[in-house]
Amino acid sequence: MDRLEIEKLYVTYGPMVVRRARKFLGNEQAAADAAQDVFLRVVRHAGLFRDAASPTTWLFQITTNHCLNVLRDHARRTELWARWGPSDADPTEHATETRVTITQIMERIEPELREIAVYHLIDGLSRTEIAAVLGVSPRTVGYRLEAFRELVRDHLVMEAK
Amino acid sequence: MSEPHALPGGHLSELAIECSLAGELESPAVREHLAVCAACRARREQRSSVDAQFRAAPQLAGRVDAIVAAARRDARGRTWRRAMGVAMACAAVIVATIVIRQPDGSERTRRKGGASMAIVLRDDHGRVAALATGDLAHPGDAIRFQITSPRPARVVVLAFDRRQVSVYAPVEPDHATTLDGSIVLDDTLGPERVIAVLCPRPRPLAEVLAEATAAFERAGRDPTRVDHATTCDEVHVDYLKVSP
Repeated sequence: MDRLEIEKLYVTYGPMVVRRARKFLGNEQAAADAAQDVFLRVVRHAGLFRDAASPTTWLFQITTNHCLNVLRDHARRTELWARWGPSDADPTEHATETRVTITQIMERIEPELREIAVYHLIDGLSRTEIAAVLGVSPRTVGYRLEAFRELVRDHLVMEAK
Repeated sequence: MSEPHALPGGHLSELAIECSLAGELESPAVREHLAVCAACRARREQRSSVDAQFRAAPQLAGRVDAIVAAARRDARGRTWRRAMGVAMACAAVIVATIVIRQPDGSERTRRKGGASMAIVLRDDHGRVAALATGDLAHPGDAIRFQITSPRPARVVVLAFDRRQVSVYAPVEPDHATTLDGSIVLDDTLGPERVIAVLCPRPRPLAEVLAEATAAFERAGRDPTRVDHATTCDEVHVDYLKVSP
């Protein structure tokens, strides 16, 4: 890719990438660093990007995965999940207890389920949308969401005892 | 709306809003929802306003320059020797699960001490980092191993993914040994388990591989269910390979 093409990509998709990274990482510098890493990956995998049916969806997932990797630090992840609520459009508020529970659960589940939980709980994606992001069937997404719900139920049962 | 959305009230997801802002083809359901939902229209318009400021910011050219410069550095690449030196100086020795076979045939596990395996990953940007259990990796990433053993042992590093058992490296370390060469991860996605098998006596590689393959089949070809692949001591590290 030449500079002109990179600039065009950054102008088009940079706002989304930075916005998403800021949401996960919580500050402008970290978001800017993450955005640079994400666009480096776009340059490296230019062929995949050009072939993507939805460049936005492709970048949405890459940014998510990159930020989840950055958030492997335990203390930072705990803080982030404790202050996160549902997506902006949801007028309801989760109780503090629910946030703490989600924090504890998210720390314990495998990365694949964690990614799906982010898309479902935080971003409000439908099964169809999650399937498009991950490149799997909506049925598979349904199975994994059910697995996540079971983990939540098991955790709540344990907490209740 | 024809598509179920996870948000209460059927509001548009974050992804739907972003695709709409990027000018990608909207489904009729999304267009119809934006036409009737003031809340989602407000979300979209707010983001559109922020995006316009982003694109007009004087720092934008500098950010693009930084990406271009980084891409050029990436294209030149870095040598493994320099990358490995930095990584090994910084990376903690990773100990995930050690399965020790006792003289009476029973097994015990412990988290620290004794034999250990450090895995260093280099991604396609030339960045290196320690790969620990639970981390993510990607096809095309390259990994190298450092095995530490408190006593002489013959080591075979095996990798289990959804398809097969692979031999990554046989080696005979006396102490900490960085195995020659790197392994470039293939495009099989999903969970992977790397097992360093430490044998006190020389064993034919084919014999070790046959034991591991049998264990893999008993585990239903699920790498995460391979508890003990061989009759030797083992060090396990799990990671998840995802698409980039």
